[in-house]
Amino acid sequence: MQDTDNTRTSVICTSDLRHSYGEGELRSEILHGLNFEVHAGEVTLLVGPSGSGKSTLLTLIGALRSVEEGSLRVMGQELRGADEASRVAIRRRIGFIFQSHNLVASLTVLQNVQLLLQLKEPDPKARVEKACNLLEAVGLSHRLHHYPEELSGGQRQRVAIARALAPEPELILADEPTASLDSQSGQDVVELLGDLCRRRRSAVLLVTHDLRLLKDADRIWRIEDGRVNPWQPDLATTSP
Amino acid sequence: MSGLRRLLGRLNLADLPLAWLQLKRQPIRYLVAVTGIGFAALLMYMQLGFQSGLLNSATTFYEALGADLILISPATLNSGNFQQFPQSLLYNALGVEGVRQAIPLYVANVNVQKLKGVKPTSLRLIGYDPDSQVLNLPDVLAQSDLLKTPNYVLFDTLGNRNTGPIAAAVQRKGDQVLILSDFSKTFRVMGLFRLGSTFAADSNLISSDTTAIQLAYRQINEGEISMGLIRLGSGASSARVQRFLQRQYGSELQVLTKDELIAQERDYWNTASSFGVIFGFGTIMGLLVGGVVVYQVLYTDVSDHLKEYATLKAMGFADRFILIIVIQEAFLLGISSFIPATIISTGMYAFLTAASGIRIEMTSDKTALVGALTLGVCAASSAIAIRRLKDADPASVF
Repeated sequence: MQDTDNTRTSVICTSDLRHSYGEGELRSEILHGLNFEVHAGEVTLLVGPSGSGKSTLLTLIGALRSVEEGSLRVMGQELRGADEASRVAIRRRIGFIFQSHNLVASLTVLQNVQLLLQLKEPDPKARVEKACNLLEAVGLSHRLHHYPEELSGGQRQRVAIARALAPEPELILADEPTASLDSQSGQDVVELLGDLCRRRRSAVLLVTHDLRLLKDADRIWRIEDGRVNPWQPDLATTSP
Repeated sequence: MSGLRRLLGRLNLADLPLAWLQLKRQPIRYLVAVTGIGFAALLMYMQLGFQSGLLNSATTFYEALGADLILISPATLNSGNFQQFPQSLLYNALGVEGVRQAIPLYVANVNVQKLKGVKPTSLRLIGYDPDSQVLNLPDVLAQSDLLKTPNYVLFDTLGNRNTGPIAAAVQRKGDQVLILSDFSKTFRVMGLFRLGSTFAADSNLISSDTTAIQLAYRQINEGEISMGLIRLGSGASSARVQRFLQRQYGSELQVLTKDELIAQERDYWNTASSFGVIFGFGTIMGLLVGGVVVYQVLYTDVSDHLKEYATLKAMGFADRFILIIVIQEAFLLGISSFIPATIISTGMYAFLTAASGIRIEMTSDKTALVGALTLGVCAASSAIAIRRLKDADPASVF
């Protein structure tokens, strides 16, 4: 079950979400009562300076940490109080894209994409076919049997996107996916991501410093000092 | 078939065996690990081989004895050093119901050399009445009549290299004259047989009782023997006669079946002597070396892949999936080390057998033991190394 209003499906919905590190006198609150939503079929950007709480927020949404205070619903599932098994189940419905790709070095491009499909697709032949289709969609059908170290940064990130999309996730969390890419590769990656996700009606939450991506977003949230607010930048002059 | 596929799938061995792919991707590290663990398995094989060689060499002679019961002095601790006892005690057994034959046996070590030779060799001399056919060895039974001539002996071709070209000379010329190394007596090797050397002697000689007494005059006192062999009549109960004889001899003699004699000999070398301790220690050392190598390899491997494992956990793979990868790696390392170690050890056993004359064989029990120890130490090492997995925090990937 997902939260819906009249026209849009809310994939992420937070209410007074707080998170702290440390205990006692060393306790430091990083997120101060966040309220925001991310919807299906939209590319949402989360921008903000270093240390603003972006990574903490991503790990909470990705069910990689326990929610301590407030409410966080991801794909209709309340994560506050969720046990490890429930969080693992949620993680299987999310596509993750990391800044440094995090591909498995000992697996080929095709195997990297196949690996994640093991969680959903029991038929090995179907896994190979689906992985090939995804890699063709990201323009890497000629690199199926190459290892990550044999690819350029842009190609690796496209493999990471194919891997994230493999289990047909309802939500994609991407952390600085263009950070290590040149201008054109970064643009290609974001366009590819946006295109694939709109077609699949997935939600994309993209954390970035990259100003060039602002124009590709359906919605932008700015996080600063642990507080998040909607943001409508002047694209000609603004920096996140 | 689908059940097997499901099982392999659960063990990550179906179409994407990640553990194997990770090992294969780093061939140098894999080779180093296999070499290290394989060396440890080889060390264990060698220790077990030496131990079994010692026990084989000590008991092969007993296994060849054709007797229902055997008498030895309680002071005889092992087959390398027989304490003599009065021959008259043996003949007392002939008065016991069920005893058909009582045969004296002489066992002594003699140092001999070729007539113009300079390097003596130490040989175990076994002497008995040639008509009694004491040793169930085809070559010996076929040549028993030769032994009836004084100073004629048979020579064991399975001795070690210290025996020099004696066997070759007999094969070539038909006989070979030898002399005791104190130059007191000569005798003639007239035939060959196969038994196997021991840790105490380079090879074996078989002679008549008369010849044995003459050649080993320094060790065999008149009227004394090394062993007494008892053969029973048909229908006699071995256990009953043994109990009766033991009661009759009291503490003067031990009355043993062949199996008991062999077990006593093995027990001496395994426990009472220092050999068992040394070989056992060597086996444990091999085990420890293997354990340290596997642990080090796995720990480094897990550390190197920590980020990947954290990523897999973040993407929804359960901890069990990653645990299985590490355990599989350990077993793959164990198996791929064990197989070459077994092949090399088989070759080394053959070489050592040829060089020493002591029979060292690759047997299924050695293979099973070293295989179990190798895989066991791999499992134990993986159990320690997977503690490192707790550092694979999925929250650290962002």
